[in-house]
Amino acid sequence: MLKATNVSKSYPGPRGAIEVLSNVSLSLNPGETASIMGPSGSGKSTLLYVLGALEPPSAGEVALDNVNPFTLGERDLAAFRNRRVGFVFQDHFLLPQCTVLENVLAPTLVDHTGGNARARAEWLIAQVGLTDRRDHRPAALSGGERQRAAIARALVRQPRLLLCDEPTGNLDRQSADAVAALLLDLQAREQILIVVTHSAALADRFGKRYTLSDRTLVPR
Amino acid sequence: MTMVTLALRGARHYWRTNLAVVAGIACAVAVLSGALAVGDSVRASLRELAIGRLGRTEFVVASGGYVRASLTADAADNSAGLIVADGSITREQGGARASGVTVYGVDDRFFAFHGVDRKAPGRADAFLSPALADELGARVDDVVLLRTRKPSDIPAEFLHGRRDDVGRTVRLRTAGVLGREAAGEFSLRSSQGGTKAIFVRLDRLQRDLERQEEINTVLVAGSDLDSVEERIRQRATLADIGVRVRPLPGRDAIAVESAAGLLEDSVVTAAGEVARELGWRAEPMLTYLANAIRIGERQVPYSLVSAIDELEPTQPPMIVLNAWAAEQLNASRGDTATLDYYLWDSSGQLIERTATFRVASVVPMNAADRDFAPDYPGITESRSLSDWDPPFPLDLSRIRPADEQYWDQYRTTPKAFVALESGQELWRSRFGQVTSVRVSIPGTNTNLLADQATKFEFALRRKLDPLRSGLTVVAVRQEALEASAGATDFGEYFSYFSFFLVVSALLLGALFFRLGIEQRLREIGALRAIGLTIAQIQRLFLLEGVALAVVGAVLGALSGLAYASLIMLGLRTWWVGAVGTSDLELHPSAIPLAIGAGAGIVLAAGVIWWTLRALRKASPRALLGGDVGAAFAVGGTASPRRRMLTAAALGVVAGLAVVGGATDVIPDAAAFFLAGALLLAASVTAIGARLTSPPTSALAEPGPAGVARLGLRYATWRRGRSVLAVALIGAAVFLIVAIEAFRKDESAGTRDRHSGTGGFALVAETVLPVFQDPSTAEGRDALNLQPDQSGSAGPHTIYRLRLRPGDDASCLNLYRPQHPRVVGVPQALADQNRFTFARSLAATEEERSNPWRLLDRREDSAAIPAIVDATSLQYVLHASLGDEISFDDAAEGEQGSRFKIVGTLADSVLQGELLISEARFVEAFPDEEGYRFFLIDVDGDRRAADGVAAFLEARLSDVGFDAQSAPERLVGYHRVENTYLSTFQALGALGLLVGTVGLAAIAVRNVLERRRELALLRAMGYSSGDVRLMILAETGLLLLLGLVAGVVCAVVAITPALKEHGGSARAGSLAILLLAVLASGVLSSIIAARAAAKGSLVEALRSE
Repeated sequence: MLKATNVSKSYPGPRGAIEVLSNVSLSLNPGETASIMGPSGSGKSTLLYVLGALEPPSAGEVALDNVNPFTLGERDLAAFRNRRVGFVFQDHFLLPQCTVLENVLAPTLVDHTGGNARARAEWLIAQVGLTDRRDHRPAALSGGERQRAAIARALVRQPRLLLCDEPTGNLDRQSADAVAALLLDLQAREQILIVVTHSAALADRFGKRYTLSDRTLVPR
Repeated sequence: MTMVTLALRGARHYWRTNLAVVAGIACAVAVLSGALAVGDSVRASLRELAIGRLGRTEFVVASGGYVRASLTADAADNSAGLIVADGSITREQGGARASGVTVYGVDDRFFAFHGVDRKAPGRADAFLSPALADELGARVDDVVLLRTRKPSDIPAEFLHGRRDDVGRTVRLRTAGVLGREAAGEFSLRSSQGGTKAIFVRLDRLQRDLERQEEINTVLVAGSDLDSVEERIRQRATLADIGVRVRPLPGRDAIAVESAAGLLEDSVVTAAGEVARELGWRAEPMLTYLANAIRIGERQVPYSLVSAIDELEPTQPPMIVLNAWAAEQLNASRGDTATLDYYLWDSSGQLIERTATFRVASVVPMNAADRDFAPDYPGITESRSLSDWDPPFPLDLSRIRPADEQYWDQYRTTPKAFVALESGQELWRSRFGQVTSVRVSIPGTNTNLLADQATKFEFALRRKLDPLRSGLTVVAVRQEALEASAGATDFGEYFSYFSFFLVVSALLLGALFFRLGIEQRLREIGALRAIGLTIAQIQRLFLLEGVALAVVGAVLGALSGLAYASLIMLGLRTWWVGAVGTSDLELHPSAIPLAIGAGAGIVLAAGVIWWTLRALRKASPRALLGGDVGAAFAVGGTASPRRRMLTAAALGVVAGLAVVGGATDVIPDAAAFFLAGALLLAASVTAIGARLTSPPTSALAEPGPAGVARLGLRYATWRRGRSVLAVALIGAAVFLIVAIEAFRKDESAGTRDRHSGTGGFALVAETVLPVFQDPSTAEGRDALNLQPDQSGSAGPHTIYRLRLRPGDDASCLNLYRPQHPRVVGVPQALADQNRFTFARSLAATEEERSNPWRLLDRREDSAAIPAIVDATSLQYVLHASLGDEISFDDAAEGEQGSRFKIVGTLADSVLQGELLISEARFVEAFPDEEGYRFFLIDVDGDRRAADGVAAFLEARLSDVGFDAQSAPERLVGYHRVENTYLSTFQALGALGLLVGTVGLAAIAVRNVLERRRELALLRAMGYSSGDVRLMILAETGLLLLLGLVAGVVCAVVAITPALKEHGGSARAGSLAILLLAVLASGVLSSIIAARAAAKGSLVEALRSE
């Protein structure tokens, strides 16, 4: 279960602290999906990074399966992200020097617990429809293909929490639909899926829908 | 706004990046111009030193013997006459001894000639040069004993030459030490080491050497070569070339004789021609001493026998006896007569030979006279036969009263006559084959004879060219200037060794320039969007690049001056052991700086153009997107296969360069650098091809190994940068390893016969020649080398070699040898086949089994076969195996000094000299007498050798015997060579610094460009340790590739040279090198990892 309680986040600015999130609370059970919308600069990505243990909140608490990642040491925090969180970004961030298969396998290099990584990677690549592209490097892929490879990579460790930051932001409509369908298709029963998006159509495809407005998360 | 303004604005705006570009170019220019400035400065310093030591001397008139002191004024108006001789000095108090000292007999005119306000020392005094005073520890009023050779007109190795008393000892008081400004370092020979000289009053030296009113050297200034030569030709007398014309009153004849006892062939020919022209008759003759003339049981001891032209050679050879001899021997026509006589054999042994004749006739006593024989000191002036004091053994018991009576009555009148040809066959020597030419003047009388002799003398003098008969005019200043060009051209070698550093620095500059371009892709895209063509943009950036290159070149030239100054300081201090002088100063000159700066600008512009050419095919969209990969895609079009083929082609050319070097088609140094550069290029191209190839296996291996492999995969990402990093490290490693491999063992020499010492324990030289053979019982007896009673000198064997003094051809001499030392190797030593040959021209099995036999070859060109140390040949004499080299210093009577290099010794103790066979030595240098160079075998260890050295130095102090440990001498050469290498290795270290900066820059740049990817990996759960491991793996791979490429290329490139010159890389030094390279890699990784850790993950993920 993901539980965020009264999470606030502020950044230092030239005229004092700039508050991006204020008392945001969120609770999602395994298998639940959620979308978060909001205008640019409203703090959507910030919330995602806080939930994904990439950035600590200024106040409040985040817990995934009752573990507050920000209480962990650097090594354990890294292991926490590796095992429990998967990210998909608007920009795919694939490693340009690696093939699709290698990109998908990249998270398994630092922790190989949890079964046959290669088989799972190949299965995921098949699931995202890139079997015939598995030995290609990102430069040889289309935008949609790159994002599908990024999704496969995010899922390879079977994370409890899958966080997607504008996953279809750079894609044409057809590719965006395919990626959205893929995300929903691949989401396992025990997985929590949160998608940040500007697209209402995409947002509507998820179970819970929120809007981030005035630094606060409100159901839509 | 113009393009220039825009370019300059760009240069200023991106000053941080451009600063690095400027630094790279400045570094290249500094190294290049600095290297050239070092070469210039060394040459100028050597020139200054040599010219300073010559003082005002421009020309030297020298003679093999002694000439009239008045020849000084004859030679030129501004001149000074002096005696120059070799000597050794012993300080009476304490017994400190210095050999290799030049003795100058000078008068006031010597100092006036040099513009020095000083008088010649007093009759009992001497001035010392600073170096000599230092070596002796001498102070004013100390007593010193000067030992020098007593000159003799008669060659010591001629029957009548004196060998037992060749030296003179002169006791002198040290009156002062003359500084450089007072001509105290005066030297006619260019050498950077301290001048060991003693200045003695001329008339004192003349008296001690029994050469009143004579000198052997004239210094000339303010004239030109032609004028001096012309005046010598005009004014030199026959006495100056050792020829005298003697009227023979009562015999209607004059005699042409030589002070040496034997006339040179040219004089004999000229005398015959003059006589013919005057209508007189010239008869050459050779008068020799027979120890006995025997017929049956009867004999006549110690008789002169004349070989005369008048007698025809017959078979069997005939002898004519005078009436007295015929009576004593009871001889009849047809009797068989034998002559016993002494001869010097080629090894310097006096041997008795016998010749057999048939008595042809008996002539009356007036058929000959006592003037048939020239004056022989110790004989001619003797009152009786028993008073004879000849320089050879005489058995007085054989002399009978009848012989004394003959002497009383007839003195040196010959008792027998043989045909000239027969006599010459028996008694000719390298010094000549005629003792006198008797010119008969028909119809003359005693009154006329003196005038006729003068007339003949004048005509003979005109006929002879003094400059081909013993006198030489040497343009010493010109020679010094030529010698100052240097045996070891520091500028050349620094430039060679700087090559890789210059290339590295330029590549680094280019890298920074390219990184700057990559930073500005959007700007370029915008320029394209607003309508500029790619060519215009290229020109704009080229303009900016050239502006940076100019700034870098100016800074580099200034830094080059500082760099050269530092190197010169190093040569004066840290590396003084190699150069042997602290007189090397920086001589700033605009030319090397301008050359360095100009070359730097041109090269930098070329490299920048090369970088910009990649923009040709970049699309505006790729540029606007800041997509570096797409923008520079043009560089990556070549397939791995094509790259591999290119690498293979480069490798083949490199191989040809190696072979070319090994076979002397290309000079060794050029072959080494060419092969090295090509091999490095081939390696780097091959590595580039490998990095271009698709990965052969997936990154499936989990754990640190997998993370590391992911890091390795990054090396393929910006392949150009990776290849550049490999090239930078490879070049530095190549330089350091290659130089290190040439390093030679400084610890101890070996006594192996095939080692550099030839197995000898000692190498020695004497100031005065030694004529006795110390390997024989008689010789040791004569030299006072009976077994040492104290037992400090153990068993030893001395090999004596002939030496022609000259310029040291070893690495100890910074000057280019104008007249190298030549050593005559005796057959017995050559037969032992000692030392190891680097290469030789051996063609037969016999020559291959012992290449010393090559010395016996007779070349068509008449060049003398010579063996030289491989290092000296290449780096000092600048010649190759098979070359013929000549030195224009052949005096009259010498065959000439043209040598053909038939073999080279690998890393030998005989670096300083050309080695020829003793037989050829004697032919080529008849005037060099005796033995002055010794190689000594000692049974036992180093202590035993020290004991023998001390024993020999004590017993042979009269000849100035100076022994040195052969292993130590070899180690001394090694130390100097190693010091040279250290100076060059400093460039390798600089290269490593450049490589490290390059590697760090590339690593940091890569990390900064990948911050988002690395942040993503962190988001995936990679710890900072994992990220560090990846960076370390990537830089480690580049480092390893550079290291392997550098080492392999170095080994391949230097193998031929190493085989020839030898070398022994120190494991310790190489370990330090590897550690340094490793440290540079770790340092680069740490810098990169720190750059990666900067800023938060989220910032990195958000940043574009």
